Amino acid sequence: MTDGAASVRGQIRLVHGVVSTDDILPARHKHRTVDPNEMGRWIFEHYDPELRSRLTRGDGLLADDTFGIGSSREQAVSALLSAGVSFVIAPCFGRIFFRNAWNLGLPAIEVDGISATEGEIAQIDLAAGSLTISATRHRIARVHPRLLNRLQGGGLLQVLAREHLTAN
Amino acid sequence: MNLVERIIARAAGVEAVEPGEIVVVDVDRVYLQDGNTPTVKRLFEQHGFERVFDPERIGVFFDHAVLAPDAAMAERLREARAFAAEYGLRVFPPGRGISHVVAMEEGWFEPGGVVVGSDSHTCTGGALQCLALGMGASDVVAAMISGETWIKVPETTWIKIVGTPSAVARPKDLALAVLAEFGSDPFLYRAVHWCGSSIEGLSSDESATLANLGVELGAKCAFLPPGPGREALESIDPGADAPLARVHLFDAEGLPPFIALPHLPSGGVPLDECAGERVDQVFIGSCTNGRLEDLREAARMLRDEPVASSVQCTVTPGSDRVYRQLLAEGEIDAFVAAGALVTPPGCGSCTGTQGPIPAGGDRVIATSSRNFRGRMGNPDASIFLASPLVAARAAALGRIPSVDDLLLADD
Repeated sequence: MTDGAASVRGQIRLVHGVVSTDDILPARHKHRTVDPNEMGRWIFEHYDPELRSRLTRGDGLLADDTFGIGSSREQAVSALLSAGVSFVIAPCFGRIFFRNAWNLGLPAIEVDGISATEGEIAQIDLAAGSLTISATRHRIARVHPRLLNRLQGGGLLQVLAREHLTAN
Repeated sequence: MNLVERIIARAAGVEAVEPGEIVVVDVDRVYLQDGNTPTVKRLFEQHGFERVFDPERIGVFFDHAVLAPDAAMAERLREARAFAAEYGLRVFPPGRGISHVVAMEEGWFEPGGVVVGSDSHTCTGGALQCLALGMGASDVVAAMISGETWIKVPETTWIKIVGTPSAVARPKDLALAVLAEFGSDPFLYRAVHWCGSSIEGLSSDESATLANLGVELGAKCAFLPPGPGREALESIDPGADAPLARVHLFDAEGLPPFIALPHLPSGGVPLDECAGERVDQVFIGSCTNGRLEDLREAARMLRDEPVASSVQCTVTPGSDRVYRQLLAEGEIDAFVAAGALVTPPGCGSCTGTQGPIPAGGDRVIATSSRNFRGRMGNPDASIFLASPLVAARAAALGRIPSVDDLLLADD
């Protein structure tokens, strides 16, 4: 997602079952490196190594169960971003993953009962609160203005850095 | 307002808050762990931050890679050290122990206070009714710089335990059983309040286990009622006004030990359902069950019967204080005499960032909190979660014990 954007669009990749942050990025990779591009090579290493090779830049994930439970590792989000993932849709999220996602600019859309086939195109309008998959439009909760501002401002720390520069 | 709302209102400097509201709160303490500190350092550099709100109130704990397993991790640890030195942060070096265990010993979890930690099990502070929140690196950086964080006031739920668990059931079993029964749906994003007669009066170590597993329930935080040494805490009771849908009654009468099957903590079953199955490795330790009472019980089991020749059993004290107390009491001697491997205090092999790492096909009983595939460093190992009592007995028998095995050993 680019700065200022309030919508995101991409091909859907399906993930099944409860997904932990260990599934997204095993701990040892985030202990070995701080480079998200390096970490991005290892996403879903144990969970589904083939998924990594199916991903093309701009794709989004559609999960059918809780996504991102467990560890607080923000690197699970930065690794997904560096692997080109541009959104995640799930019935619910692990709470820390959810915060991390919005903090880093990865829209995490909480909506239940969405089904799609792999490769369908999803269009998400964050400000209006809609998700369109192929021709079907679903309502989603409007994103809290605070989260949207953060997303459009380039992420939590970019917003904070600007505030600090202004304050000083 | 209830407990969590009062804590948030005070920290936000407002009269009252309501669930769903987003507020900015003052943070009393912030702590980092070795695995995330290098990323925190990178974020400081990337965004040009040069100051922290109070270096004395920020701790850096070296616990996940106590014995650096390779050159790459050793480099990251050096970066973490350099960062802590540059900003004058409090350093808790390798061997000092697990952040959440040491934070409790050091009084960092003040009742009614707010703590932000870069590790999901920071919620352990709920044992002392501290709103201790695990967060990702960017949130932690924001808190380090500003001394503040934003939070959404959570809805509140209660887990009310009725009945008396069996003599061989421990808080770990209770948490695994509650998670198996309810799943995480009723607790996700919420403030969990444990209550009921068998929860009141739990020791600090026992309460820490339940608070620690709050994140496995999906909760934002989990609070425990008063107990020995924690008499001043608020009592917890849903009262007559609590919405019924938010009070989750759990009948623990005669509850047996539970064991979580691979590969999810929510996969708990009564112990006897898998009693007799082979065990190759046992890990006793972690921020869930690496405290004094946990290891005392494990030692008591292994004094009676040593580790089976087919099993590798690793014991990792949660802190140097725990380690030295066990040394003074003779438990470390008992572990070593029983054939267990005692490693320096820290996270041990919980998360695969240091050994021992199980071999493919190994069946591991761990007292830690997570058994996700690959968690301990090998996706082809199967991890079962259990209490220290069950784990120690499994180490001696080389198989998952039955309830009768535990009762006999306990006589």
